[in-house]
Amino acid sequence: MPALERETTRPTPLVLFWRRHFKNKAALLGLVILTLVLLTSLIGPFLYAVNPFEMLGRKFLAPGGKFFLGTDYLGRDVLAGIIQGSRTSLLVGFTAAAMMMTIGIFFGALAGYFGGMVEEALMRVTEFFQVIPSFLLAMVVVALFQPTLGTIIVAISISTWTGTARILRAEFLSLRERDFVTAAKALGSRSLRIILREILPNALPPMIVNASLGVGVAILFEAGLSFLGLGDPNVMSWGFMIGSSRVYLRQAWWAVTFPGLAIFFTVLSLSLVGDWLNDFFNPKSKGRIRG
Amino acid sequence: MGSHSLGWYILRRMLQAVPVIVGIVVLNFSLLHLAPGDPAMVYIGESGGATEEILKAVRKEFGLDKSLAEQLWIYGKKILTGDFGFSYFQGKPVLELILEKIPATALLILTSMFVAIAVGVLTGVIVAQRPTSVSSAFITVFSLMGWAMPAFWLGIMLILIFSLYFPVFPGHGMVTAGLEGTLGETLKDVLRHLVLPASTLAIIYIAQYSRMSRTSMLEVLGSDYIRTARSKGLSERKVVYKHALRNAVLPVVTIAGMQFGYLIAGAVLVETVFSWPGMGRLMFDGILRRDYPLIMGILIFSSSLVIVANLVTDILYGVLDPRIRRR
Repeated sequence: MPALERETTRPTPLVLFWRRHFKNKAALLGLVILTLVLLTSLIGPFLYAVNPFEMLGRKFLAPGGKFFLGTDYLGRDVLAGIIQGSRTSLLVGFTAAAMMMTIGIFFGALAGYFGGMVEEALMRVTEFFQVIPSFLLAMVVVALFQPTLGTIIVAISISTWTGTARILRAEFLSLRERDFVTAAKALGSRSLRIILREILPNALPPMIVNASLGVGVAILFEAGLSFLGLGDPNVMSWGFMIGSSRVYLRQAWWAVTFPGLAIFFTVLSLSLVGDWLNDFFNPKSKGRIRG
Repeated sequence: MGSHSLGWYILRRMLQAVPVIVGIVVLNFSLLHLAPGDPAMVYIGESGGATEEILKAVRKEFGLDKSLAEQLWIYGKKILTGDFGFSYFQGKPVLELILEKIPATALLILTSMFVAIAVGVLTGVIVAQRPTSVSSAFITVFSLMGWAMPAFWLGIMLILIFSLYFPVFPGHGMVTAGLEGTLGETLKDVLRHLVLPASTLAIIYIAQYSRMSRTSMLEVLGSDYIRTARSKGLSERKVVYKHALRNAVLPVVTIAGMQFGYLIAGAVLVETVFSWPGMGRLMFDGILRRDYPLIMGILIFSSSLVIVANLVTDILYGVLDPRIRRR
């Protein structure tokens, strides 16, 4: 008999408990990794004050000995690059995500709350941006406006806000019918106040989840942009390390592998924390809020 | 027939695409003019060897002395007649360059997508029948990892393992240079070169699709009409593959269509890593040389592709689920 005859397709309480147990462990792992990355970016450059751009050793030195993670094709310290790169990734990640949320909330909240023509107009604009391949748009913006951390952050946020906008609109559409909104309106509160004070706090859960995933996406975008040579030339970035060293893969695989692992674990930890937050706020749902 | 027919639905969808295309042209035009520097330079690109004559000619052609509205009109007309600009660096019209490289990218993207959907849906279906097994946990872990992994890094790792350490597959280009053989041999050569880049893209998407497929299969298998099919005495195999599968495939296909834009972006990174001669690599070259006409032309072109992909997905949806056609 196939397994299906014995097992139900609705998970038993035991299965749910086991899954939650794993999810909690995964979230814990995510939190630990994230804290490590955060600490590295904050105090790493002071504890290990090595300039990642300086050619300090022989090129192509394998990991171990004086250079814990080896050197690249110019003799630059890979470990220093990883530490400095964490600053870039987290800075761009959080700032771009914050901007993305702001734009997305603006479009989504107003569209969801006012409906009608306002919603139509705002949603049309959202559709334009949704159709344009986000990474390509970011590339073009950074190329046109010259690569600096600022333009990169702006480029990422204007390429990724549509997901947030859709989520917020859905939330506002449902929340605006609720009693507390009707009560506020009856009390004569103005629209802006209702949006900011009443509805937005209630839309917080999906926003938080969206934000945490947004940081991960922003980090991946920044890595991709730097990889292609569109990064800020004055800061060290994990993507830049991979991009510049990939021609020398045969001679120094560590110069490419370790920055990539850094990106991977950072984004993974954000994803784990985001998933846990999602479950925390929606214990009964089976779905995922990924915008 | 009325408004429920497939024909009207398709027409409606196509008409809805028009304002979106207009919006994209406007957006590109705005970017062009917001960028620092002389718009004429942007129309030429920074490595076109802009002489005074060329600058004057460009100014005249795009009407840079006229009002913004008129300039927008000129620009829009050009796009709609297929004039996406001229790449002074490569010495060819942008559209011609794009059309030259599109087949290679299409080969890469379509192969990756088909493999990803096929493998993803199948693994999801199989795993959905054992929701508490190790393989199910593996799918969850795998999908998390797939999302967090930078595509370009995964590609380089694959080259490291399967091209450098164990020389199984070539890691560069689409064909072996200087290889002259029969059609069959050339085809085999191309396929060998296709394996690693396509696998890179496919792995990342399989990670997502398998998890999605599992979720939707689980939901479908618990539904009423599957229970009915079972109580009719149909074999489990028939229940799963003939009835449930169709409904479980739908969300995956929808998401795949929606993610076409991401696939194009992935193509840029993967083609760069593997030196695959497609539109993505063309974009990278254009970025490198600040060949603005080329990169903006690719932006418009790929946006149009996404519109078409959305249209196709919508139509597919309308075919598979007639309830949708009323919208």
